[in-house]
Amino acid sequence: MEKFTRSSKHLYALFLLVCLALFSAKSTAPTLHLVHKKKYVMGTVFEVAVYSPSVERATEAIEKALEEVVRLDGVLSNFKSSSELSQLNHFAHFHAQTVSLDLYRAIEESLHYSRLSGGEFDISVAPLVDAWKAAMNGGPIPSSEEEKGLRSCVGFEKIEMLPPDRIEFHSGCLRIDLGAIGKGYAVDRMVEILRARGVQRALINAGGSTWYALGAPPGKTSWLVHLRDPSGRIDPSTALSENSVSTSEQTPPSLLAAVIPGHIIDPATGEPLKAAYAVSVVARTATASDALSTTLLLLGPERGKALVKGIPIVSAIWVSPDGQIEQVSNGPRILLNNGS
Amino acid sequence: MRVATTLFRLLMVGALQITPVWGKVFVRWTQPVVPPAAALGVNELVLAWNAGFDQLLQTARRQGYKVYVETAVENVAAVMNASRKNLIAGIILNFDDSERSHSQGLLQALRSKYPGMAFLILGTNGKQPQMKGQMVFERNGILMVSSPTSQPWVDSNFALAQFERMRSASQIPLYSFQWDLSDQLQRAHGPSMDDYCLAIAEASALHADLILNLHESVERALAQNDSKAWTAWRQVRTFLDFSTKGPEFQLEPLADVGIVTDADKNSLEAVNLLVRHNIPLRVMGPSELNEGTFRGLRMVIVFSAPGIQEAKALASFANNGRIVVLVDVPGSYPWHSLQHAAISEHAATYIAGNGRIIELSEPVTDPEVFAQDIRGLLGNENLTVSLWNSLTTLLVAYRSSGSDQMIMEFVDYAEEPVQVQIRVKGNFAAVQYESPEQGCCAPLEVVKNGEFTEFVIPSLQTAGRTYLKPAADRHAKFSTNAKAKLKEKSEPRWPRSLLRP
Repeated sequence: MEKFTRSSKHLYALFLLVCLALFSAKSTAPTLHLVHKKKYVMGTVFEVAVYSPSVERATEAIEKALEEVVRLDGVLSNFKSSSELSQLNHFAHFHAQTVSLDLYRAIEESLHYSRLSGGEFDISVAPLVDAWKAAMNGGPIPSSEEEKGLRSCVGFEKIEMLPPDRIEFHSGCLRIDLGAIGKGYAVDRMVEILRARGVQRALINAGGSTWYALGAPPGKTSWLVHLRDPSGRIDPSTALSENSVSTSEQTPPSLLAAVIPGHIIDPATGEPLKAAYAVSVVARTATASDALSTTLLLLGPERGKALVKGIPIVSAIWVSPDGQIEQVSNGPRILLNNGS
Repeated sequence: MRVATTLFRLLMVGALQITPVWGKVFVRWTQPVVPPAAALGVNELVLAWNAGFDQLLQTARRQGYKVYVETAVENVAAVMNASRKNLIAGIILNFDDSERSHSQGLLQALRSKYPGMAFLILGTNGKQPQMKGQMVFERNGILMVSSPTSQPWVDSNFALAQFERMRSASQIPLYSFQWDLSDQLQRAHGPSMDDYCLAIAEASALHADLILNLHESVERALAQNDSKAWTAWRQVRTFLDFSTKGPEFQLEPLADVGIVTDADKNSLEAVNLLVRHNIPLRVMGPSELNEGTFRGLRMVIVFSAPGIQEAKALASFANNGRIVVLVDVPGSYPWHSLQHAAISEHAATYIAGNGRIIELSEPVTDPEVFAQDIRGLLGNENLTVSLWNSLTTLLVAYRSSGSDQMIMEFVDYAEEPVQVQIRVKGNFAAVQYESPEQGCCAPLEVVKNGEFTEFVIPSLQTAGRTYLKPAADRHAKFSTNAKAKLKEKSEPRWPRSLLRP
């Protein structure tokens, strides 16, 4: 009994000490300010929200991170004729071209996903993308003859990486479009900058399609991101912390046009992908989630699930306009509105 | 020579005194101290009808303002009985949407009852002009929804200004908005000076009147003569000055597309999205539908059910090689007897003479897709004006009445410098560019490309204006004498800043 009493006293003292420690930690915890900035870059809006004890430091960190995207746009853009990628697309045919570390890394990572998906994800699809984009903007639909010619330009295996910094195209008409991975790559570089500047709680959004979360908002364990739901009935969501989610979906159908173009081209057919579902992918990096979301849209649920099972810490969901869902999880959870 | 110089100087003085023909910026004021109008750069102040009104009215008048009182209709009699009503420049009436249908009748009654007083109607549903992000800031945190990559969403007041112009033809459209302050910092300090500049630039481009709300901290700092606040306000002053500097000749908006609507919410976002795709348009009420109002249009989009006569006018418009699109207005129309081809489950197309009539069976659910469809239907070659590399830039184009001179107003909602490429139908010899930062005017290089003229604005930051002067051979079919007479009669004056030596 005495032993019990003594031990109870010790426990009680310990409890008091813990309470005191918690109370003092709480009373000295700095106030966290939310700082939010956005910038138009890469043809879309990049946003960063940071919780920080210092507004000035948070502002400076966000501005540096956004400056990095502007710099990367000058490297990875295939719209800007002066970009490094445009120069590569112009000069690398049967000629090894020296490139920056960023361009080399972005293309190298892209080729990883091309190999992983058996060529479904292919950054060399630019000639076809350009032709169909022109059609979407009121230009003529490419004829089957034109399409055949353009398809002969496409093929990731015609891109040769010559370490440490040279690239050569083994085709006279191959061109690279990093639209399916560039934003993800840029987000990962932003994360590095924010971390280096001491930011611990932040959310980055690249055009709505790629999100990355550092830490969590105050008082929470993660950032809740609702995922695209074309049916409006499922409301899938995921809790992000030190990881990323990306969403891909084909351009919605036109009400008026007889032929439906779209911005995602299936390299296998040379035509706009005919898929009505939206795909969201959770992965450790934004580069991975960005590349995989396009890949899984192209592969479809059946082949997509098989692919995801071989990749650690990746989850994916396909949601169709009529509310059908397909899911695969190799780690991160994707929640549905029924809590499952 | 001396006489000529004197005459030129007199003309210059005359030009400088001409009142601008377009919109004004009013400032809504609440602080007891009011800075001088000349310092604020605004002539019109709006005060609320409350207990402190009389005192504030006198202060504001002493500081050089025209004072407008903002009140509900039921207070008008009280305002008109106020002892200092002669100091009031006008009464601004705020109707909600449900009252708008009978607002014109009420306004007429008030004007006839109080003939000396100006009454203005404030348009509701104004929104802060901005390039929006996807994060939505709520009380309990941030709401985030993933989506496919989207183009920047621009919130503009274009449709609102057009709808107001249609509803209240007797006044320049007048609107206001509440600031959308997302984080704690913004809530504490208010919008940035760039945000104020953008709001002024937008209203100026729309040729609309704006009641600008100043954040409490800014209003207080200006009232207390805070030097930092006044230094920051200088940036806003450049935009206020720019907004009053337009040309003195009559302008009419340039339009390729006519929108027929009851000015309801069903068409509001569709119109905003068409504008975001820089499709020049003009909004008209169903009763205005006739062949005269179709002049110069390539397409008419109908959101409001046409009557028998209106339907005939639409059929006749299409017969002349034009396109009519009816959005969710089912009915029995004369073209139903014509050859038709269903092109999708959502639409039926009728071939009418050289043109087409397309009936959409459902309302616009995705305004972005709808705008792209309309752009595709028009075809790039048929658009009078096209912009490249400018997803955040809106263009409003005007043509001077009686000549081919063109004015283009540009607003960029990203609030950072962008290079804008412009292609305009027609042969223009010279393009001059004016902006708040650089003043007036710098010549831009002009390139002829077939039936189009192309030029580039190297760095557009928030607001810019171009003056396009037609090439001489536009009137080649006229004799030299006829041309000279026509020029004498209709040549509009360039903005006064262009006349400066």
